[in-house]
Amino acid sequence: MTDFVNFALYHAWLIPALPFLAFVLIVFGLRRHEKAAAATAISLTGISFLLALGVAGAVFSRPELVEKPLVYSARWFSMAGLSVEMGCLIDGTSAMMLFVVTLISTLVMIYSTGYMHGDEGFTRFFAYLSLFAASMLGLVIATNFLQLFVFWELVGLCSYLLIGYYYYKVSAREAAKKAFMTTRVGDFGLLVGIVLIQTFLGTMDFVELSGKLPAFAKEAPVLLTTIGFLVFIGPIGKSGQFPLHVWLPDAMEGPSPVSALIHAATMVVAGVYLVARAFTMFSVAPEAQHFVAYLGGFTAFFAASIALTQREMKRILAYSTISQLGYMIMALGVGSLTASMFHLMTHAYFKALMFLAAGSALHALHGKADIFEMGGLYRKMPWTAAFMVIGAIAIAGIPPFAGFWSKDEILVMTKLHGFTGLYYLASVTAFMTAFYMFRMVFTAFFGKENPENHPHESPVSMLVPMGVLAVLSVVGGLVGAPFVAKGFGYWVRYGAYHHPEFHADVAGISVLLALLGIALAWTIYGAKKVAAKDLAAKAGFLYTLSYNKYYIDELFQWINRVFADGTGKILYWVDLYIVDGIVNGLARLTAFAGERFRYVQNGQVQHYALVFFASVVFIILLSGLLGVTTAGVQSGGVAG
Amino acid sequence: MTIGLEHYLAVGAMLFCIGLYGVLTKRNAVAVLMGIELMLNSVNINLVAFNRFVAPADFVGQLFAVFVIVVAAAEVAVGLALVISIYRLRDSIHVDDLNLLKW
Amino acid sequence: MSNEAVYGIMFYLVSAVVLLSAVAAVTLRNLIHAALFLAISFVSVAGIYVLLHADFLAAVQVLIYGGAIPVLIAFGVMLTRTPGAAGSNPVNTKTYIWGLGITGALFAVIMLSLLKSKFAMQGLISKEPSIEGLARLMLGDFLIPFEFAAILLLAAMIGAIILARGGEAK
Repeated sequence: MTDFVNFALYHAWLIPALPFLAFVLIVFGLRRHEKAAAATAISLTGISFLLALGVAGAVFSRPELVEKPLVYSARWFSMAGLSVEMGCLIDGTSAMMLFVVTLISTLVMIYSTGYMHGDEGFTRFFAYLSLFAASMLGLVIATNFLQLFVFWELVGLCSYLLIGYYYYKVSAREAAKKAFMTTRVGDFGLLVGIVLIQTFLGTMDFVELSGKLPAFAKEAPVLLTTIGFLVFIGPIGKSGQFPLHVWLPDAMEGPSPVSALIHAATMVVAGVYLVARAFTMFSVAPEAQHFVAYLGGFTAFFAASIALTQREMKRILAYSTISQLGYMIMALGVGSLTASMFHLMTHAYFKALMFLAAGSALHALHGKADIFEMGGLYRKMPWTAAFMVIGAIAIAGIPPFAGFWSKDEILVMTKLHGFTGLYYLASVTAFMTAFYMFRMVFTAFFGKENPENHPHESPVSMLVPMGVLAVLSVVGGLVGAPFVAKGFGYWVRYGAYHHPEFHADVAGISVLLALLGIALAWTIYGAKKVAAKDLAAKAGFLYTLSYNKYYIDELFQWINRVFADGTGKILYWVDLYIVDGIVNGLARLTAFAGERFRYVQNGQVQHYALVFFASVVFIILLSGLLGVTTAGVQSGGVAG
Repeated sequence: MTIGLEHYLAVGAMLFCIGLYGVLTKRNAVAVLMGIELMLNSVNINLVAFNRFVAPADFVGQLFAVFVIVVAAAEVAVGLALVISIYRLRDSIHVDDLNLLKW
Repeated sequence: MSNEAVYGIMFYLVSAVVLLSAVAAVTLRNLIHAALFLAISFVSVAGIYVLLHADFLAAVQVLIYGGAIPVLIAFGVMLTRTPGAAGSNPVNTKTYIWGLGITGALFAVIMLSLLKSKFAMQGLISKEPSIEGLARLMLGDFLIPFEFAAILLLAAMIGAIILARGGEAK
């Protein structure tokens, strides 16, 4: 056992390498063999999961790793003033991430065998999934900013491929492009930040940076804050923070397992993880950190307010993801790495569960997405309905489900660190979360059945992964509960260990708000005591605003039309008349000159000789004028 | 006044220019070839003169003159053959009539 | 008269013959006459070689330039009949002026650089007969160029035969 644990610890690079191997095998050998491809992807990712368990075990057996991460790396390339390495950094945080990512990836792959059954691109899908998992795992074990950035971009590429999986659908193509370009804005900021870090601190290595940063913070606080902002632009894009969240709801165009993977375990938490890795930097740049906190809090509230009025099941889940990511970012901003990572983990469980359940429902209804066209699904799909309810309870924060413990931790930390405003905002958000989740649950899974629908329960291959996630959504939060000694917070932390305390007031208020939200949802959508339409009419302006997502997309469209298209038109003109003009002009000049000068070739050999000797005279005169004497060019026995 | 290197070089230069004049101004291809022969001879005079006055211990200059004579002989043989061939084809050996290679 | 004066007179005399007959060779309108003066010029160049103590080269010059090449040229003239020998060597009026100008200019720059140059002269050594030295070089250090020259002559000979036979070869 110890052997395996040590092997896993010192061969952690295998964890991303195995899914990558699966990708290569599928692409180059198993494209026509669906079962073999799925088996390869699942088994190799499963081995990665076992290795991740081993790494986790190693961290448990060697608590010093939490304070001093184990780093081993190989040089990638080096030049004067820049040395880039690729390697593994193992500490509590990365071990936890490895566990979550491999777990969710494996489950999603198993689920996909059922969900994607009969799809034309079955093997392609598994190839993408494997590459996606590999990229995310490579990102998790990154030892420096550059390695992280490389895998960060790979994750972006995979998300593009997977969102645009149904490439024959225009909306899928558009969504893929939107996701890629929106996150690109963030990536650019991150890249500039990384370049600045390398320039001013001389290293990109996380461990070295944490040594240098405190001194640097005293030297150049403004510069460090700037770098902090720039680096944070990356997570804004990747983790869907306001105002670059717009790609995330559209990313629902991909198959549901992809949504689960993107929203729970990989892509979007990459941003949160980046901030966690750069936590040293943010902890010494208070302005940047406060910005992180307030932006996170605002995003949490903002996205929740949109989710209130959305009609498509996966869209509601998407906005809830943005909202929950806002929580995580906010937790980092208020200075609690533990709370953020804890929520990341529990959120991965219950959000993956909900997406898979939603996928199960959509699968049964052949892609009908509007929750108001569903209804009563629990009769035909009891398991799916049960899983969805478990997920909803978990996200709403009812004890002892997973979401309660992590959300409570965030709220406690926010309050304790003196961000009272954010605490109230987050509490209101918790209320809204409970409301919109149960709005969806009551509407889609309970109530009257829609006679047009003929749902059926999903196959076992889809139910089992959901079952595993459901169990984790129930009990997964207990590892960080206040009554556990040396719980989650001991292993995943930054700085000294603080045992989480139980604050009855915070917990009480949040549970109360959640219950209120559920009750309200029941009143409106379950028991239909109050007509939703009347409420919408009364709220009028606010409802329209929320339903249209605050017109952020339209705003971007307008900005694009006015500025990007305008610049494009100008550049088009420049290209057409100036660049092309120069190129074509040169070509025309050459042709013209050739037309004129060809008469020099008159075929008269004596004319050529004349030109030749005239040139000889000219060159001799020139060298004479330039002071090159004939004696100077002589050699041997002849000297000037 | 002692006759030195410069005198020979001057003779060489004059002979070269006379030959060049012939090459540039004659219409008859055979005359052009004759001009080329004169130019080659002037070069030989220079080579031998340098050999004599600058590096008298060795005979490399003379040897090069021999090689130039060899090449000149080959050149005049091929050149005259070409002239005859052209004459057969075009019925003329005036170089200004030969403009097959113009634009 | 001293030896030196005799040498000087000889030099000027031979040079004058060389240059004047060369001038005649490029100016006479009758190509046969021009070829004759060319032969005279070549033979007098052999005299210059003698003055330069290059006895073997002088012999070669007489043999090749005095014998072989004039014969070749005479053949060339005869095989390319032009109507009347008197006008057989016309001047190209299109290049005449330019040719004269460029020739003059070239001569001017050569003489100018000749006057400006200084040469590292060595004392004249009384030497072994040059034929021995040349033989040693040709069959020693310069053996390969010597062999190449032989191949060149062979190739030129074959080429000349093929070219001169022309269309009949088909």
